[in-house]
Amino acid sequence: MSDFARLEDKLAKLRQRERIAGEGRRLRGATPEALLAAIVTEIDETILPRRLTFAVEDGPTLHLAVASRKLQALLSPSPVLNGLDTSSLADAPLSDPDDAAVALLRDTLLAAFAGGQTVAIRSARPAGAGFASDVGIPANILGRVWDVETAEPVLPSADEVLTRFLSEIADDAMGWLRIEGEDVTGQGGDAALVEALGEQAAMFLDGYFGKFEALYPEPSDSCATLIGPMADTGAAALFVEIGEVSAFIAAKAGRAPEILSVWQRLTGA
Amino acid sequence: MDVTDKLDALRSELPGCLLVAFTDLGSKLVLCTSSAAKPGQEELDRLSELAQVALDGAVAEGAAPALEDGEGDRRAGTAMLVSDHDAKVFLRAPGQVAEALIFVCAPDTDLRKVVDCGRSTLNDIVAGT
Repeated sequence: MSDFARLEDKLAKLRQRERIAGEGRRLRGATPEALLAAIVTEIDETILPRRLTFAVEDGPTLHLAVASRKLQALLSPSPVLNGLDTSSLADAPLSDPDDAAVALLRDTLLAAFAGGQTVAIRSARPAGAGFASDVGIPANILGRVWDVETAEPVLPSADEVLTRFLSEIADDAMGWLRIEGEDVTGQGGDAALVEALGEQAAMFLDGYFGKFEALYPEPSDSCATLIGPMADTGAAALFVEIGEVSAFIAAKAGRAPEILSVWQRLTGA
Repeated sequence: MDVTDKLDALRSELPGCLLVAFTDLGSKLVLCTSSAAKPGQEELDRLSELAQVALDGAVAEGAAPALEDGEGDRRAGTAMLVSDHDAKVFLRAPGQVAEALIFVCAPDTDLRKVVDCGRSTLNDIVAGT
């Protein structure tokens, strides 16, 4: 991979300013139960102490203290929901899965999600010292007591989505580089073209990351950016990102909409 | 049929298309729009700025070495940005005029239809027919 050292060096610099702490994302679920399952997944993926804020579109906002894959507490301000008094939950540490507070928190979350299918999620470091490390209910136990373990089908990982995408567009991709973090971890297509792609990708990403906030002002789990020539007969530059994996692709310009339709389908756009 | 009528007709052909705008890339001004809800001037300014970035500015310049149309023209003619929230398409007018169409669509919009119908309308507008 030394041929791509310059690209990797540039990626290392650009990534430093790409993801900022507290950057938001979105959870989606067709039902309140699916959103509850998505929240358990978020807890399961949170290692460091974090204040996770869940804002329901046109609905209430809730804050959870999470650390070491454990739900530690509902943080204040507690949400105001019809028929549910959640004031006793605010900032009260949770450790016993059979505690009535855990069941009340489940009901609170389901009530909060009743009116919306999109929930914005933001992660931030806790303002104070946080809770002791032994406080909290592990996500797997939480999933069991909340009965949400099988509520959501397993979605393909970002890595799998990108692998499928590159496979499905193989006939329309003239050459590609697969990038994970700051490393070029795969390549495909015409050898001479692939050799030139490292330099082209470095140039493209300089402009892309420099204008990223203008291109994508709202947080998005995945992005695909295609720049095509004036005529349909040449090559287009395509950069796709999902999670921590991405790919720079020289694609047949005349097939650009079809290539992006594959991305739309695989990412659930 | 004036440009506004053409944009209205174009948008009605494209399910999921929320806004179509005709912009001047040089002055970064939106000249004409068709949309489901009246867009704010700030949004139009942002879109025209984005069209310039994608077709002429930093992103287009970065893509230029990869672009090859077989005739030595390395200008970006098409740009598409697909996210969880929307799909934006930018189509530059043929020839040397600095004009373009901007589309803001739902994220699952049929992009082939947007490109084909958009180019046809853009050609009509530029030709003045």
